[in-house]
Amino acid sequence: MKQFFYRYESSIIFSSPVSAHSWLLRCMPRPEPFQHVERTLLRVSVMREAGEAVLLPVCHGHDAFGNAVQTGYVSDAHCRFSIVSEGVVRQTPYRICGTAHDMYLEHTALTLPDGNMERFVGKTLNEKEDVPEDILPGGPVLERALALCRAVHGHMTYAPGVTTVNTTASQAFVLGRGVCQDYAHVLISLLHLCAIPARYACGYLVGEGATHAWVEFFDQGVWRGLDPTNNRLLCHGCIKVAHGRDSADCSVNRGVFSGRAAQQNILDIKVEEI
Amino acid sequence: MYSLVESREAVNNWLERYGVRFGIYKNGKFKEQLFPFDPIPRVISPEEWAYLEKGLAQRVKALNLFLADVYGEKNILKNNIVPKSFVYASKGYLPQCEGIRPPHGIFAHIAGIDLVQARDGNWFVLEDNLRIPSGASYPLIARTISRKVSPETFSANHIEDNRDYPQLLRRTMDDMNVNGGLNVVFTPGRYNSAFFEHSYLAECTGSVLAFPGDLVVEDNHVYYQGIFHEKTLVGTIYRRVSDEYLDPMAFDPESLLGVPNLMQAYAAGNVAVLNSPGNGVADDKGLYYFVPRMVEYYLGEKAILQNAPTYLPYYEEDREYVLANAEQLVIKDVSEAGGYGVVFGRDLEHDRLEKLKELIRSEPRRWIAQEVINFKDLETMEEHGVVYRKADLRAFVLSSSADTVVWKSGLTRFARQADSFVVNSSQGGGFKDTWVLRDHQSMPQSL
Repeated sequence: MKQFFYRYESSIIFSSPVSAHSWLLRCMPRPEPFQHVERTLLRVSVMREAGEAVLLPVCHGHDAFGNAVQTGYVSDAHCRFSIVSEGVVRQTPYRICGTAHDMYLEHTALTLPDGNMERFVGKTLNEKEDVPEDILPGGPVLERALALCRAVHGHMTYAPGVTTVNTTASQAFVLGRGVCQDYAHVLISLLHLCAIPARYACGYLVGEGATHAWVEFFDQGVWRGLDPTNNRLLCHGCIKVAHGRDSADCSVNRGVFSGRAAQQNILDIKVEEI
Repeated sequence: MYSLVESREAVNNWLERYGVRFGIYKNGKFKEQLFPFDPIPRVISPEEWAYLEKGLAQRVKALNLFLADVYGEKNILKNNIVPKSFVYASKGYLPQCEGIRPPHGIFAHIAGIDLVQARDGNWFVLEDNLRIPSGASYPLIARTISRKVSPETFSANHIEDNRDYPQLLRRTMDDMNVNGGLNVVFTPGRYNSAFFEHSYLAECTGSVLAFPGDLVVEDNHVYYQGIFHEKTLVGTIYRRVSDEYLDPMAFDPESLLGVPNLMQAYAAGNVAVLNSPGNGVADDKGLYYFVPRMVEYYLGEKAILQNAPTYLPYYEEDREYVLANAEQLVIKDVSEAGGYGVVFGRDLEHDRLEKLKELIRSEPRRWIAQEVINFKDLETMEEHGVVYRKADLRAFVLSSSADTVVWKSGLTRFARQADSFVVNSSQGGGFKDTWVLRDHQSMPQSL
């Protein structure tokens, strides 16, 4: 059992005031069998041009994937929107006993595979090219998942700024470059091609200054965490916030407001073992 | 009756003055056109109606139970009555709705069921519409105008009054209302094809017509904000905005039509949404095949209404049949609506038919094929006299906590061209009133 302190701090600075701002956050740890949430605190505030921060009321709820969501609305004009989420989480090794919903076998717009990826799976699992899907070796799921994770890690080069939040798995695969979100989408597509239930997960990682994304796959009644960006099976030290079919189901901060303004994002994440 | 037929022009002029129009997008441009009214009604006898009424209520009850099951316990999938992949690969299945139980467990509050009658008199269901079926307002206003233009027609014939539709709709809205707040009809706006209907139904039901931007979610409750930004709590939203645009936080983030965080308020039970988001999974053209099985599974009864004979290329046996008989079948793309993506095998040239077969082989889940039903043609007035045209019937079924009620009327749409089978208003068809007779006294012998 390990204990971690986390702090997520994020602000959006608008170049001119915006109003009628609706927001939906997924920034608090998700209660999981491996993750006991000891204590948490959330502060959402807005600031006028030269005013004091005004705390906003927060509604707590859940989405259909079981993630904790926090929502609210502020009608008044503001130039800065800030979130602080912090707390203490106790963790055992990463594993979630349960069932796999069939939605985690279906492709979404972001995880739709293409022919290239199909061949890549064949090659990875057989070390031979152009092997039809039906004679793929039926090796244990864990072994295949690890092989695909290693292959994705080898195929992709970590490169911020090349892809966007809307880049699909097949686009990122062709580019061979991207960030953790792209690595995760590609691995989900490949696992789906092998009929292994897989989903997108995200949260905060020890030693990372930004939110991190990884993959969960289902094997014999257990969901495990697999991080293709770092090519490893997850154990301790990643504070899980959300999961869903793809990144669109897990956005940490989604907002709609009126006003024409450029946005500057400030983000700071800290995770420490205590 | 004769005087009503002679008043064709007068009724159409009134419809025009009331702004009864249907908008269509053609080549990327929005065009409004009148929805031509034919004065010769479809007439349904009391016995025939009793049969339809029973069958329609049964069907909609089963569809509601299916939706509650799919987004809840999933017993029908566990028992393998409906293959899982049909549900989860359906575009209409929305994972964002998993686990949400709407007020009274009802999902399809306003259902539009499309039927056709074959020459031998048998009725077949062609399609269920459980999302935002439009059309009730047209026979409603046409009847109101017809009664003014030709009152003697309605005193001489014993016809069920259909002007109770707003009361039925209002009853459903009130019944679902979770907090005594406003009932609103939520329209995407002026450029929606059915905008006339949205505004008319709002007026007739005493609801507020809300445009994008009028509704806001605060403290997880929905409020209507008027032009002075005073806020009024909303209890029921009869929404006419498609699922994917309903809430940019849960669905298409680019949507400007939606109400941000509506899904959170809805999931918490703080507002009723009619029809429920996610209903598309039950009116999917592929799931249609399984509706008679749903009736048996949930209600323990034989389905009263039949489907048109349908083949699912997903099943190998059906696929072989479809590929061998494509010329005689009507083939539908399950992901399209409004008469789009419907082709008659016999109309296709050899090359295009082969291409279609290729698509059926490569993506069997995407298609259904049906036998072409020999529709009973209905008499229709043209400039030079009576002609016969293909027609369908959209029946409206309203569900509330107490009962499932079929509106004693419906929208009869007919094809404008003599050889056309496609009656959708988006494809240029016209409409008729639908008379349900109270007794035989007024059954017309001949027109």
